[in-house]
Amino acid sequence: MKTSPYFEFQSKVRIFAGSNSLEKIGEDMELRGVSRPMILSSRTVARSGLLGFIEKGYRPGMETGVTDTDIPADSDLETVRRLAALYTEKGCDCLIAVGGGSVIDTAKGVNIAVSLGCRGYDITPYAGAGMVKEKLKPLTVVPTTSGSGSEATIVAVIADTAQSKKLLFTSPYLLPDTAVLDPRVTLSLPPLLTAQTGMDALTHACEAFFCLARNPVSDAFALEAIRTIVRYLPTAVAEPSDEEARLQMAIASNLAGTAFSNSMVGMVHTLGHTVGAIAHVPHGACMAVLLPYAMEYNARKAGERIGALLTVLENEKAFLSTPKEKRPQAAANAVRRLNEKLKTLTQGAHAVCFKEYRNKNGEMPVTRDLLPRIANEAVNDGSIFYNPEELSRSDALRVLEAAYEGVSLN
Amino acid sequence: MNIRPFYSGSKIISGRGALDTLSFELTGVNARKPLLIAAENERAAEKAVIRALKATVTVIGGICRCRNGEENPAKTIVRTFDSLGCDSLLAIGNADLINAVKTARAELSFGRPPAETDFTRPLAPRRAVAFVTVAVLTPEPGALPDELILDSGARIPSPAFYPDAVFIDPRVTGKSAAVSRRGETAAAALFSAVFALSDAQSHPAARACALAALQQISEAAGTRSLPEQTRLIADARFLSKTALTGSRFVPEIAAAPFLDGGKNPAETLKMLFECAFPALSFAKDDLIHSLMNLVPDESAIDGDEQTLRREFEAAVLRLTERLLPESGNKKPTRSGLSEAAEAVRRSALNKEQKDGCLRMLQNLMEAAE
Repeated sequence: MKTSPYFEFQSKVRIFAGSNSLEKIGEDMELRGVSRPMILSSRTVARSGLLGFIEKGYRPGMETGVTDTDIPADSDLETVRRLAALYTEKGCDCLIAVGGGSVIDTAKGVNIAVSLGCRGYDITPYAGAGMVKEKLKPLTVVPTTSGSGSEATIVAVIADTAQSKKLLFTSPYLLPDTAVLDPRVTLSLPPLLTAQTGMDALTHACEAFFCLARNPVSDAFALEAIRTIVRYLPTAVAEPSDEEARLQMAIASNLAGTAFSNSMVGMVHTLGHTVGAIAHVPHGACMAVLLPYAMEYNARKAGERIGALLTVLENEKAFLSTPKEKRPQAAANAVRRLNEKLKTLTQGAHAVCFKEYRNKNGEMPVTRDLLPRIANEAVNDGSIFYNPEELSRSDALRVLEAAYEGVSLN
Repeated sequence: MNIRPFYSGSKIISGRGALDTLSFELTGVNARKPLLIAAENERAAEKAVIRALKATVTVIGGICRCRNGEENPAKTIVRTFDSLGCDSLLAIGNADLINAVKTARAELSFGRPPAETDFTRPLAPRRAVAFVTVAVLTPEPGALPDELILDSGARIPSPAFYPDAVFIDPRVTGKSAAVSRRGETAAAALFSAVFALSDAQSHPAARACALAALQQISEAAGTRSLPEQTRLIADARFLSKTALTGSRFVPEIAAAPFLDGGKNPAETLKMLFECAFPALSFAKDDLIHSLMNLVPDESAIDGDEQTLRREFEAAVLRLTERLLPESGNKKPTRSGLSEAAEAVRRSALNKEQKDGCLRMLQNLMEAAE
């Protein structure tokens, strides 16, 4: 497997990983010369008492400026404005986000508003690629799920509810300064959510490895992530209180996030984004179902790469004993077996195909008649640009139909 | 269950055409009038960089050329920077030059020489001075990306020393003054990566950088195009050093410059690798991944952990023979080890580092007997 003749890579986030990492935030703030953070989080996290561990690590003279836990599931401009005003009013000098993608994206938005002196805290002039061109206030991120990798990305998505659209902000300056991976934060994550977010991380790593913008450094990050996920995800699902498994999953998710933010993703995300938008299926659930199909679909163009994943999805023995031409299929099957194991561990709640997926109300949101619409809209998703194989509408429909029924493409 | 923090402060832009994005990246770090600092013996590389900057109509604030062995080059850099009203530093040169530019940057940023600055305390820079490097081949050990070596020899680690971006372009690396020493550079990177991998407690991201370095070296050994080969070696050199930043203190790396007077760093590292290998521990997965990069025959990964270790050691030594065909089988002598131990005691390493190096040298002495 030859190296790409040109690549870019960056991973400028300082990472603290370990069982008492929350207490390290004070030390990191001291080094950055800040002392009065605004903490953004969710009510659930605040109720769990985890924020107390952060304050326990404060150095003399440090105190929380304000804590806000009233953040909607999709971060929006109005929330960013409200929080930016609060940040200024309370005299804060840095931000700590403890939560999932929405909390982290909201913190990134607030950081733009307070650092760049936006009039009326309106950050819309900075929407788009590369519009934020200056260093922002120190931002520390504590991800509470092990999947999105948003603590390692240069992106923030913030909804403009008045215009009914989502604004995308991308800039290297949106990378958090510090990511804190503490297993205590994910201990209360339910098994199904652990399985889904873990499969999201696995998809980031696999697509980073076999899609077109890969590079030797992102490859190594991706392989390390896959190896760790395969080893620890079933344990984290089966034994949610296992701190070692939780920590390893947080690290793996971070590695996968770093890998894909440098080498992009492909058709699993292309199709998954649209299934999520149309049928309201959680992102991780879509990733889990679609990943093996994307591996089969891309085998013609990226067979060697997908086949090489067998060493980490299974082991070197499986890799060696499988003929080269059969390795891509064997790798896809290994992902299917992992999905089946997660299904068993969640008493059938983790879906391995779309017709099995049920939402909280017990409804089946992905129906067969939705598939043509999903296929039509999916091919316009930007992530397809980096997929090894081209994807037409009819191809997308074929993949979706197979993923709906749970039958292999081959 | 605590893993060392990991931080890689530099963006890497590597490959043919990397220099074409130099202007874009400089703008991204607010570098509008860079001072170009080049080693006197890197004129060819300097020309390639100036050509790339001119092609994109980028203003060059000035050029400061440093001779090898020049007394206090950092002072000259600071003076030139201020007199020309520059706002950023763009460095092309070997490990010594990069260290001088780091020193100058620290002085410009914090208003006092780094020897008088406490980098373990919070530091608000007086002014932000962007720092970008264009890599050439540097076989010398030099500092890690997050380190500065003071005149006393003391090494200070701080995220403040990372360059904002590192450009690795075959049009420059292929013209490096040290191009004839590319084998040594590659071997030094190889052993740095191997030692970084042997640390079970290092952050997985650091081990990932080490594995990526091994892949680049292996590919470089089989690459015929000289510019591309040098590019891959420079990639590996930077990645292996980045891997060491997230690793434990490696006595073999720290002690190497004290053995043989630091004249043949790659050969010394090879000798230390051979002596230390039985005591080094590696994760089985890392051995497999390394062997998949180092050995074309898939069956190399077929075996128990002991077999994998043997295969790995043999693969590293085979690769070293290709990189350093003249290296031979040097063994440490008792007198050489004693001199090295004395040099370590006199050095500016801190107590813990000295103890680590001395323990390692003592083990070698016992093995030599």
